Amino acid sequence: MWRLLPRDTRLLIIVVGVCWLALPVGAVDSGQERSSLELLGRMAKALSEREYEGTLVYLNGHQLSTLRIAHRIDGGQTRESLLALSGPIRAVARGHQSVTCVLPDARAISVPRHPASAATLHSGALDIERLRSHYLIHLLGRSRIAGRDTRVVGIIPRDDLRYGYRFFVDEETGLPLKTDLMDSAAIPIEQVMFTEIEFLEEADKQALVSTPERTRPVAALSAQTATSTTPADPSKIVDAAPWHFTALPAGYRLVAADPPRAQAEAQVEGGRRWFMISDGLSTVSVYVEPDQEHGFTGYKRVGAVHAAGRLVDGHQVTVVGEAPLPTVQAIADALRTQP
Amino acid sequence: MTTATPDHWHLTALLDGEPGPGGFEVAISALEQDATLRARFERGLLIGQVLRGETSTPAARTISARVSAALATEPVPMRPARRQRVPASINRPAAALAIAASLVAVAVLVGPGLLSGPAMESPGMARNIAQQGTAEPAGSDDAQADAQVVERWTMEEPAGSTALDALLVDHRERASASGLTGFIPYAAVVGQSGLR
Repeated sequence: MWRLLPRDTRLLIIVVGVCWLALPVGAVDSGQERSSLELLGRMAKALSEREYEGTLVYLNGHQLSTLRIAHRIDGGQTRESLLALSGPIRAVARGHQSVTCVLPDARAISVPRHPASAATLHSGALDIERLRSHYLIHLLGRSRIAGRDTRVVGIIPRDDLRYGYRFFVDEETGLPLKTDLMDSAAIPIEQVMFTEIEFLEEADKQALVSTPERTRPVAALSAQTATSTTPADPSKIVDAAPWHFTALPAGYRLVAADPPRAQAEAQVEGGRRWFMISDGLSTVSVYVEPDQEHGFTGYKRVGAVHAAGRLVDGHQVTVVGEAPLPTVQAIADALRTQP
Repeated sequence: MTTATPDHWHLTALLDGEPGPGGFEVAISALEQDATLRARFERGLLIGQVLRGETSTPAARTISARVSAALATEPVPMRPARRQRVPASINRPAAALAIAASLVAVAVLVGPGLLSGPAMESPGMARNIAQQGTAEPAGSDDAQADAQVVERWTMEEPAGSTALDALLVDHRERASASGLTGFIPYAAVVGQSGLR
């Protein structure tokens, strides 16, 4: 019967059929796109606004740790703490002005806290086309974490030069109850999951506000306040002089640096320069400072973070980022002094 | 009967993992500032290890001295010591909204292999699997490069390790300022135990 139809009619039927099949697929994809992006937006909002306390497990390779986390908002500013419950005592306390870490061998480190206004990833207009060409984002269904229903959204890289994420977002609150850091084959490298979580009620907030702060954070350590960074404005060229980057990995570019005044001070006082390289999602920091002979050359790794070090014109260059080793290595190799 | 003092609360917070209203921050600060409290903390740590039948860590007895020594050489300044006022107009919700707004325009397709993780219930998953195949697994080059990597962060010079850890924390802080993953990436900072 098909053969009896005129050729044009057959062609028309095929075209209409293909369109009919394609339309629902497109509609579903569009809906999925909207849903996953809404979910990510809701997650980011919940991370900054929700107050909670809970127990986390952290898995990296065969290493498993249990952690206690508390996230509070005090006077409009967040205050967070994280304590390792297994193995040697390790802790992180993030106060209003600084982040303090107690590491496994009792070393303590304090760095200034950087304000949200200095956000380098999404503070400027996002280069959608650039991000689209390097990542895929999609809703992945539902799952259950810590006894709560979650929706799963994945951000997966299209190549081996960046890592991806899988977020299990609590349906009720929007908080990510499980976060997987994945390679391009979607194999988890690092996983952080709540096993128990409790959200702070309004009455508890009142009690917290009335609790006087007994001690100031880490007076013996550095409590420098943060300065804002040069934001990631795609239309603005970030001044890295006298340094510049050649042949960065595909999709990556210099997006931020310390503000010009801090740069000038660093130049005069022989201090540290900081640059951020990003593909719109993945970020790598580049630190350049005069060589003091306790830096390193070569490559190191802790968890999913890679670090590369090299000497360039009497300066120690250290590149640190949650990115695959070839990416971190290439960024380190790309730094040059301007001729 | 004794009345619990703030010091008791701090020790309980760290030894039992039960934070008070202010979280662990106050307890950690108190421990760093009070040598007596640190000594009590060490004893508590050791007693806990013995009671739980864990291998005790002889190095734990020297934590006080090591913390003192570390404090003598710390802090690791991240930039010249110049106090500046934090902008009063830090608006985290606005940052979160900016993230939401910017992500709205991101393309949506499904990635290969994503489905191998959680239990999925989405009806579109089978079709998505069929559409995948753009991403390639990590190749042998990566594995070869990994072989050249010094396995752990530990360095010959403690000052080098401390400086590198300070850079790691600083990077985390700068990268997490966007709010996309919040404080949770810090789990990786303390999630690594003594095998660093």
